[in-house]
Amino acid sequence: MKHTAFRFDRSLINHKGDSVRYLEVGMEAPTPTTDSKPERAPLDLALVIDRSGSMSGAPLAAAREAARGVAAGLRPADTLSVVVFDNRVDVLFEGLAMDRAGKRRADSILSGVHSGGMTCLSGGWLRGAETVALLREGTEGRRSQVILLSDGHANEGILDPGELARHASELRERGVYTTCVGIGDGYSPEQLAVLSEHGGGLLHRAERPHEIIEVLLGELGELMNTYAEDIKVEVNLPGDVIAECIGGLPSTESSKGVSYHLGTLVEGRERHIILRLKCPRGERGKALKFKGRITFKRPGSSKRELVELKATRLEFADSSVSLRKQKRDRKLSLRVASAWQAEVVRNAAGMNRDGAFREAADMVRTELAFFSRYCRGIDGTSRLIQELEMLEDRVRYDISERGRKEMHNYSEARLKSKPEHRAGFSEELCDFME
Amino acid sequence: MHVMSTRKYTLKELESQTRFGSRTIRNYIDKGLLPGAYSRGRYASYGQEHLDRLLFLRKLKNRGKLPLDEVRRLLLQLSPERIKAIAHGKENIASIASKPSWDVHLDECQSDDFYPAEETRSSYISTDSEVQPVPQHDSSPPPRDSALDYIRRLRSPGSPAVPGRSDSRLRQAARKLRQITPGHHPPTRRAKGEWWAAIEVTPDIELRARGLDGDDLAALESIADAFRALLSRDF
Repeated sequence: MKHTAFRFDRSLINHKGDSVRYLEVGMEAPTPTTDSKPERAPLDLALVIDRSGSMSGAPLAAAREAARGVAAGLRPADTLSVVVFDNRVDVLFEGLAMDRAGKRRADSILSGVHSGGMTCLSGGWLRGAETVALLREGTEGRRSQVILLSDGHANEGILDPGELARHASELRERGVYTTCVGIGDGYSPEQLAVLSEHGGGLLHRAERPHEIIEVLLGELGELMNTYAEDIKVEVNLPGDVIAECIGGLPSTESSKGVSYHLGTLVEGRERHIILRLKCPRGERGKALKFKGRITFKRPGSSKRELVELKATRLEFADSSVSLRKQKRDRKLSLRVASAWQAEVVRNAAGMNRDGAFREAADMVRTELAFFSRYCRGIDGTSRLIQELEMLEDRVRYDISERGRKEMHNYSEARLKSKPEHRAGFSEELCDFME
Repeated sequence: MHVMSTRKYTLKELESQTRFGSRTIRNYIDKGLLPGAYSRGRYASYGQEHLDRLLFLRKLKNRGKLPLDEVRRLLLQLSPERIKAIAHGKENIASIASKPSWDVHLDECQSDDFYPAEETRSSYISTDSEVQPVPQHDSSPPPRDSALDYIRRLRSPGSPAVPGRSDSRLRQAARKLRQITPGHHPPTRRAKGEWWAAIEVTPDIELRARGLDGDDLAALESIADAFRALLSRDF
């Protein structure tokens, strides 16, 4: 990694307990120069395309076009598999080397895809995963990626998001990663989000058919320039400190602490995770010590690399005056505020979708009270506060499904540094809350 | 009189207050240490009893490792009031938990750590966080089987991943019971008397029988114990 960071927004806490502090773990991948850029590991890519009835017409045509665009962008050492699913799963072709002949064949087969019946999402996804898993069996140095495109809500096969998450995690641990593209307004964000979050990928959104092509080609570009995969951030917490990851990344607990799963990092980009910590009581002048490390795999490698983070600490203040007057890391505080706001937006969208309008408004109001206090004196946060005030009013009524999906997408972008591949896309939160 | 709190919690709030991860909490539900959520979905809600039990389990865990059966027995034997009192520090856990044995059982419940990391630490010296660190190799053991093996197991006939089939633990247990009692035809049920005995197997399952006394009741309790053990096993 080019840079890493492991730091608190403030370093003093109240000896009586219940101080809340924010811990950031940051990382930046190097940008290789043309001379130093290593040969990219061959990619085995499976596109899993929903061809259920709701995809008929422009969405399926766009997905076909997008798949042809992906095939054109791959190299001869890469392979492409395409699986289509409705209530039946069909493999159009698998492990096709993307040399000239392979691309012609892929093009010809893809033009014949038609829409069908119900949606067996898990069946299609697993079959796609199997095609790339077969190619990595007994080999080293290949990358295995599934990209699932769906406009719908799975109604056959594995439906439970918890179970989908578990299987996506297991495949991620075994080197098969999953990214999803949700098409239109009807897809299940729960199902696709857990597949991608736990599968080491991202959930992209394509509202209109032409955006499917933009998103898929954008994602292919990200795949070509991935620096690190399956990133885990492990934090050792002192006893009685309660930690919560803003944005709720998949995590696992062990005797050593908590591990958070971040997915991938593209060359030249940064990722941050922010933990909200509730601190216990202690003795004035004593300190709580925190250790952390980042582990990740380079694309195509099965070995995990390890970066130890410099330990950091929180100290119990010796007086209430020093506690009140302590310095804040303002830039970090702004990043905390941005992530916090994104989390509130996402939760509000979910509660609005469930019809819990009053509860959503109450939740936003409660968060806003704490959020506003936190933002005092931090430049750049007044707009975040105004947006939350607008959100509190808006979530009392049914927001359109499009609006809720865009709110979710807005949150993903801020919480996971997800790039937006849709050209001409507006990022204003007020535009989504219709 | 025990007044039930109406406060509801989200999974995140439970995680935050108990320091158990969401998967651990779901595992505890699967293992019968917690009742299921009041509602399903991303904003599933939980109640005070969930929080009290989790805090109780946290106290047990901090004390040492206990076999899962013993944890279940404690949860069955103790009243909700005592669980709450211990969870919130009003009663000392030493009053009810025997000295722990060293079987790793409660930790099995949070076994998302199927493959515990054992990094090889080299002589890497931690530097200032702004300076480029030197990457080292982490030699975590890989999963036991490959991605292909895992997927093929999932997609095999009878697996829940096959479209339209979802095999609950209860159905698996029923199948297992039929296997271990082949050809057995249970006698026709006859009702005897009015009195019903209810024996809890897990927070969500109970055995009920009418008109049993003495040895028959003890036998039913043994069956409940065996059933509980069967539900906790992998199939």
